[in-house]
Amino acid sequence: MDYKQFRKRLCERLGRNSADIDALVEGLSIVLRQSCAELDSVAVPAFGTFAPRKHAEAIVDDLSTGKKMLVPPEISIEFRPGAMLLKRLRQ
Amino acid sequence: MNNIVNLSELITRVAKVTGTDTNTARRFLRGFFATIEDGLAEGESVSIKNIGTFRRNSDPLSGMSGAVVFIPDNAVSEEVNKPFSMFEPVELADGIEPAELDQAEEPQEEPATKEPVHKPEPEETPLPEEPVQPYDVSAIFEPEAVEIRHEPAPEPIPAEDTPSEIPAAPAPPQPEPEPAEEEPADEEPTEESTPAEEPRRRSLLWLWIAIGLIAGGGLGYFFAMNDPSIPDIETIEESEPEIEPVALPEVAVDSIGMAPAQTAAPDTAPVEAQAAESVPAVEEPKPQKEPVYDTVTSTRYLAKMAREYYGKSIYWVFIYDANSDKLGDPNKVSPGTRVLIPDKESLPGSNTAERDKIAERLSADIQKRFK
Repeated sequence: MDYKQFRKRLCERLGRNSADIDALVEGLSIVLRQSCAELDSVAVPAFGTFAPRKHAEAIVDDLSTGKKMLVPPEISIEFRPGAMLLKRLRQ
Repeated sequence: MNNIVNLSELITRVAKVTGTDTNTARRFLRGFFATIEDGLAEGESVSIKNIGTFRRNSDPLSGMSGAVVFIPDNAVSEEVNKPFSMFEPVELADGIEPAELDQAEEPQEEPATKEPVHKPEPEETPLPEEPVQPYDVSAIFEPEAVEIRHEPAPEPIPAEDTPSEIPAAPAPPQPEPEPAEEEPADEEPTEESTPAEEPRRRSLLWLWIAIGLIAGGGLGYFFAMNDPSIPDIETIEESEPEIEPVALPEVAVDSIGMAPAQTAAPDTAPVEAQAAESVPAVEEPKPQKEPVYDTVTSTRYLAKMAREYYGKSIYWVFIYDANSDKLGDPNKVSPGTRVLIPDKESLPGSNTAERDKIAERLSADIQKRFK
């Protein structure tokens, strides 16, 4: 499901036009990015938690060149699905 | 940081960002996550612009917690990692990784360590500096202070000042009052002991060598005394005291008179004969004492006899002269020849030097005679 299909479904569900949906999605994206940048997790009940995780700088073997690389620190976003989501997916 | 944004706060933030009310934001968020859930339930992956992609994970090893995978959008990743955007992966040479890590960690740790170090310094630094000064002053004025310190005035001043400031200071001033005598005594043994065992071993080696030489000399002297050549030494020693009185020609009468007096006791020679022969002292030997005879053997020639009786082998000429009627060539004296040994006192010459010269002269004459 690409974004257009997702937006179409969401417009039908909420009874709003795509512009409003784009604006709301953009607003959610901004909040999500700000929270993760501050290493704050975003917990959505019955769906899951967006948990940012900071990785310190590390030396990694570059498999393509075979040389060691010093990788700078990085913040990744992990998603931990909630119990309700997992239950539904299991069904 | 490390806080959890719950749903209500999320609604509030979204409403604030989008400029809508919270009910709109709440309904939007419910519909938003419900649509994603529907898509995942249908087995589809859901891609959302500026957020990311949700998809189901078919890997059974990931477990239920990994049943849904979220891949954030590039815009989200860039925004989240914006503080680290200035860093780029750096290629490392082999073996540098620990150093790189230390260098990367040091600048963060140094300021933390420096702060506590600087704090105690101002308290501790003045304390060691003050005791150092009395040491230096005492060390500089040691030669002059030796006399001054016997006076009571200079001693209590450093002793009182230092303990008032530092408890550890009284220890150093105590050894100071008598440094001139104690310090060199302490330094010398330490220097000998530290540089060490080689000088001691060398001194012991030289000591043993000296002991060995002394012992060897003693043994050599002992064997020399037991050697048959001892009579030679005795005769030399005996001849020297005899020569001394003879060395005075004017007192020759007394010496001659004394000599027979000592030797005359066993002898029965008349005193008149001695008085008559006092003038020709050199030609006395034959009539004075009983003649002594010896026999020439294959290993005992005139020179050896002279050495035994007179102490010098060169005096063989006197034996030869006394037996010149019997002997021909002195180098061809046949063994078994009985020769007369003249008395030692009758040998010509007033002292050994003169006697040697006479012996040499006679030896030359005899050798010329048989050449």
